[in-house]
Amino acid sequence: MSEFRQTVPDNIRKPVLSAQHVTKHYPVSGFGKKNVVHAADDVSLDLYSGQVVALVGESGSGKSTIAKLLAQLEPITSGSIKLDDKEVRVSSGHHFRWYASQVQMIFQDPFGSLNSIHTVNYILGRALQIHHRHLRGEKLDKSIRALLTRVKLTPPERYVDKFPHELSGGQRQRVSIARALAADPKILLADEPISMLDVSIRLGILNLLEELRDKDGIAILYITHDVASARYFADETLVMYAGRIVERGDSETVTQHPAHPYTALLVGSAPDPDQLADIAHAARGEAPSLIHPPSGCRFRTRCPFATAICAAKVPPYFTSPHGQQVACWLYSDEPDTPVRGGDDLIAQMSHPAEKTIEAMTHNNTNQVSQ
Amino acid sequence: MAQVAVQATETLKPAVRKHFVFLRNTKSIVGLAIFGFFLVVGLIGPWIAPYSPDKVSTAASEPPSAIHWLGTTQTGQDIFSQLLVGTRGVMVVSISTGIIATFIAAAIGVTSGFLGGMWDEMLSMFTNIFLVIPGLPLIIIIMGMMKEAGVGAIVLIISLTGWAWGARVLRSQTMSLRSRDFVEASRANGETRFRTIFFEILPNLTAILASTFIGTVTASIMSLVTLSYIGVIPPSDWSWGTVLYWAQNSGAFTQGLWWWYAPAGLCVALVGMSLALINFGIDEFVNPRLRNTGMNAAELKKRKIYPRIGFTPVVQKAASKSRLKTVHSSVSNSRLVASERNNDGK
Amino acid sequence: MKFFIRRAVFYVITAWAAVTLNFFIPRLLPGDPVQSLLSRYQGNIDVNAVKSLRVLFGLDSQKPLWQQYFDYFGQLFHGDLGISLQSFPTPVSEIIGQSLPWTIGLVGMSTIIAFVLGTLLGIVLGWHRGTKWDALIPLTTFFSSVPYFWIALIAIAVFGVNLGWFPLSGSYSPDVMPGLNMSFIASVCYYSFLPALTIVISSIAGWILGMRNMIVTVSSEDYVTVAQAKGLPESDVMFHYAARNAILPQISGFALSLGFVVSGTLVMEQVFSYQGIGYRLLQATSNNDYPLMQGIFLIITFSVLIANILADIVYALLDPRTRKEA
Repeated sequence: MSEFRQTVPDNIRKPVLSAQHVTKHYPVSGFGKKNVVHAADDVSLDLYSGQVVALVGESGSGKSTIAKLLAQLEPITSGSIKLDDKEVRVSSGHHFRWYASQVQMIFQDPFGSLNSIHTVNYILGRALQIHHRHLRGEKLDKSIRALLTRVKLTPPERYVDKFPHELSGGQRQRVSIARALAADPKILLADEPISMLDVSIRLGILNLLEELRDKDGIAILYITHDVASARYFADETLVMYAGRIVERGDSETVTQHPAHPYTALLVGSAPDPDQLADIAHAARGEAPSLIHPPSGCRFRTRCPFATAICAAKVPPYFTSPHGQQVACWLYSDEPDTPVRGGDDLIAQMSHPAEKTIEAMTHNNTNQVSQ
Repeated sequence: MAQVAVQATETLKPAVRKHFVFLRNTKSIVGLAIFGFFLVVGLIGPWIAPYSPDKVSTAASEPPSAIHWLGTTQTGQDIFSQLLVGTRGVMVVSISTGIIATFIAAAIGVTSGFLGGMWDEMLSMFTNIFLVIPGLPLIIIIMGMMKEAGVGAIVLIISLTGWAWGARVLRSQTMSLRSRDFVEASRANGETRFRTIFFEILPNLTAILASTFIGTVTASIMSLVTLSYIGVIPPSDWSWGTVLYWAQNSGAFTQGLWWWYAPAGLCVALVGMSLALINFGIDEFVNPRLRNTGMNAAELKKRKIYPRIGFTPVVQKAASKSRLKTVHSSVSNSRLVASERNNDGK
Repeated sequence: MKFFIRRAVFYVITAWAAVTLNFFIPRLLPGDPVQSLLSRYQGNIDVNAVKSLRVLFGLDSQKPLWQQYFDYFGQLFHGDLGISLQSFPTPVSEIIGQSLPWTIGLVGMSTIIAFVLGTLLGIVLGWHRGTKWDALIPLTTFFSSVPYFWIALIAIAVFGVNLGWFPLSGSYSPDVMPGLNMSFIASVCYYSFLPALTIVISSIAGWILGMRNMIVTVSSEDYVTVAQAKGLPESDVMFHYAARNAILPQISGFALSLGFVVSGTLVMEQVFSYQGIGYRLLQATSNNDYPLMQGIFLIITFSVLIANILADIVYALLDPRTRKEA
């Protein structure tokens, strides 16, 4: 675990970056009708220094949008973003540069995120100069080399004059990380940093990020669709579905004892050679349209436990038996809410009873019990 | 026995670091050479002309000879000198027009592509209007209504009617560049919009800008020669078109005075061709699928392999090591596919 | 639907821009055109003509500019393009009405032939890339680098003067009576052969090259490979798969090139003394017949717009994507 976290008691720690009830709707060009894409709805999350928060979700869940919103590359529709407890809204100019010196982003595609006409020297040099105006000449060269060393591209002289297409994917991603670090940020937003890398390289990058968390106390938002790496790397895990956060809690708990049916689906669909037959059952249904998302709980169209209340009201966050926060009516004590058969949701989502399969394929909202 | 195949030694060279790599193939070089020649003539033309172009003499309508290299006009003027002097007019006007029009095209096209939204709509509409309204008639009535038109005015008018095409191309290229991650990353880093346009986007556009410039120069040469020929540009400004104007009006065509009208047209054709060749070179660089043709073509020709659409030649070395056999297989990739496996024997 | 509405708005705005240009050009240029005209014609202009001129150029200092603007539009909507000075008192619209069909007939025919021929040749060239067909490319490039009129002049010199196969100028034989009779039509065809030939030769290179490049790009797409793998005959793949997709940019290119076609026509008519609209424009220019010049410019622009609209319709018919809603 991170050394940083343990030195400061939890109850007086403040988040360095916090998103509160952030909503983002993109207008869709339609003639007359006002359609919007509900990319993010009522998303709240906190980033603490020296801690990694994982945001897990599939394509179209809205997780990349969250990164762009937190980096203030796009304006939010409603809600607030607070840096060190003070609300911030920047769009351009030196305000934006000040914000960028604290919050930096790493992109998914190592091939597209570096301009192929510039050398590593220029890319890192520019990144440094934006935030440290007077850095030039010998001092600039030293700083560039220090950055390269920090991301383990050694000896730095070997990499300084290379063009991006002369580097491998992993090396490019390290240069991207170096570029982000040039600003000396407190917060790193990593948007699927390893998804496009070869599997053998991924661990190296994750370890680099881990080191940044431990040694430099940087707060990291790690966005991914791979639950396993979230468990390996992150302290806290948030699960996102169709623009909403459906579950949040300690990484170990969320990945080993998922409380929300969708998380159980995600965890359960990791290919396990012993249970190949069951994967077929678990993988039914498709992600919903973000323009006309289902009312109430957005997962209810694929959920075997769904009842009438799931369509009527958006579930608030309940506390699960294992301690994580979950937005699901299964955990409510009120009458007319669905009932779960035991706490092992993975098993229930992977080995559904006959009636359950029916429910999932026909979008049936009949109550199911085991 | 394991199959032994030929090593793929003709893999594409890694992208060269030097600038203007797109000018390195034969087509571009030939084109540049020819154009360079005309540039030089344009510079020194009036000084090396043996006679003044307007000077009349008694040697009327004479075919080419030792004293008059391209013969004379009906009034005894030396055609060779006329062409030499006219080259300067053509070069000056066309290159200036190229520069100005490309500048306008870049300013409007790149801005429109980069900013998007309302700005893009307005600027695109503006560009499209200029694109659709026919240029030559517009120039004709403008010049027809002006009293006298100096070189500056001619350059300005041709530029203002000729920038639209380049703006369109630049806009679409800018739009596709803008959606690339590195532009977003540059912004996330805190880079100003100005620097993003100038140092991240524009350098990626050099090939297109060069191509636009060349296209504009070509178009303006055509316009200039045409305008001189029909007399809208006063014939006192010497250019190749003026030579043809006088030729036509003095009935050179009906009298078969080929030395009068042929060379002028040939000059235009040569310059036009040279510019088109340069453009081809740039085209092959920018469009990677055409590039493979260019760079590999020589190699393939040497081995007498003729690539066909959709087929990839696979070269196998026959077991006897004496001949190369060419086999066609269906892979939609136009690069040579080959591999080498060493057979060390036992 | 949205696609069509956008295009319609665009064309309306362009038409408006053309009219506005027409309105402002004589006013923005230095000098008083009416005065200079009067002096050039040495006062041999009727009073009514002068009045119409003043409305056209609006140097009626009594009326404010916007009023003149409206008056001009009003005139146009009534089909009144003014009165020609050099052929006074013939109205401009009449002169245009006489010459426009000639131009459209000749240019329309030749351009379509050039487009079809060029596209077909482009398909063949692109498909058989790397074979001896490639020799055509430098040849066609040469012809496209040469100004229209030079090819025309050479053609006249070779075919007209030296070989005497075709007439040197004019639109039809002076011996024949105009009318819908065979001898007239035959004469028209005979006289229009050379002009048509020059247009085709000059413009075909662009079509060939454009189509060739498109075919090259399209043929490396997967769906072409699938078609070949299915075992379809090669001509089938070439035409129904590759060409069908490659032709879309050609058509939009065609629409865009119409402006250039017009320019070429102008000159070509001058060379052949072909009594189309371009010939009249150049005549008007040398005679300072401002009303005729402006009227022809407007008509040319509108014709180009209409041709663009037609090209858009063809494009929409061929490309189902434009008809689909977002």
